[in-house]
Amino acid sequence: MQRISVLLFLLVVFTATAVQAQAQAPKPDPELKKLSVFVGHWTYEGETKPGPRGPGGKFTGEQDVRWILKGFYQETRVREKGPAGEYQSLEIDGYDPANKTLTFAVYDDQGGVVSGVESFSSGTTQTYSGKSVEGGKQYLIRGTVVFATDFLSFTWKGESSTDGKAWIPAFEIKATKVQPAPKK
Amino acid sequence: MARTIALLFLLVFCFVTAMQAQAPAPQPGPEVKKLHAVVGHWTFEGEFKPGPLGPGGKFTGEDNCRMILGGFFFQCQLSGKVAEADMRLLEIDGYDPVNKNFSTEMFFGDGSRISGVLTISGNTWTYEEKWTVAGKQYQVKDSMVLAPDLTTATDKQEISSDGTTWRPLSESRWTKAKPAPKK
Repeated sequence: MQRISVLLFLLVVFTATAVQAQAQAPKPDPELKKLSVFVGHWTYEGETKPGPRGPGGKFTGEQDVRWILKGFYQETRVREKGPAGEYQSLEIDGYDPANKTLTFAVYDDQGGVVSGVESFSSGTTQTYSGKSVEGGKQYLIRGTVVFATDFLSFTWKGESSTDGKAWIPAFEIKATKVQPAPKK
Repeated sequence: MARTIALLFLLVFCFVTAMQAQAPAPQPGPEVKKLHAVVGHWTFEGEFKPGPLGPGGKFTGEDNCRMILGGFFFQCQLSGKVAEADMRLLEIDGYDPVNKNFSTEMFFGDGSRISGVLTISGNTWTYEEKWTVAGKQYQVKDSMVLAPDLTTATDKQEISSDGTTWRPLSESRWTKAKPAPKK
């Protein structure tokens, strides 16, 4: 009887510990799930508009999007070819619980950093705004990504501004999901 | 005469276009080279002090640091254990030419995030950061001192919830391992 009591006690302790451990482990905010529509391998083509950030031109590219750090962050790696040559970037998206918003930070091989906040105004439309620091200059940026209802393609329009009042088109992209993602 | 002018115009146009096409890609500034001092594979051990983030505990782990994106940014991928719990983070540092300082971002495997400014003075790296944990924001001061041969370092962190009262957060010792393990 005593042995059964000890075993029962141990079982309760183990169960309680396991439940506690599960309860204490932080979980990604449900808001992050909205970014799942980006996960996968994408190819795209687009055009940069002439403006203060450059002469513009057509470009093509591909991006790989995946969850990292136990699903708390999303990583996007971009490889692009355009009039100015090759371009690569790394983007990290996450959730800021203090301000209750999705955030993004993009680092590129020109030394540029783009950061800001993003949200989904509907199931298929994402909007974002923030700032871009490139070549020692700072621009304000904003844009809209609209997914097809099957989430296998999207169009993306970006705008930039130097003063937050006058906005000019910066680029347009049409992307298509390629399945399955290529193994590396 | 008109044909000569047209040809001259074309020649100048082609020359300008060719020069534009050959315009060199941007290169990282000399400041970024300061980050090279800690590129490599590091192991570390230390201790978190009891405080607002928990009861504290010893931690160990490893950190792989390298330059990425044409050498403009510095990335570290850290994995370790704090009191038997997994600890993972991705750190990205770069030079901010607008504010003329280094920026640092750390993304943790528990969803928390550190953003801040890094100042490098000789072998002393000083971070002033904001750490957002579970919706609460803390200020963190971090001072890392590299040994002259750049193969070991000591790190001390302090934390504050109001920017006035500071308390020790952690102390750790870092050792560089050569060469970095291939993955």
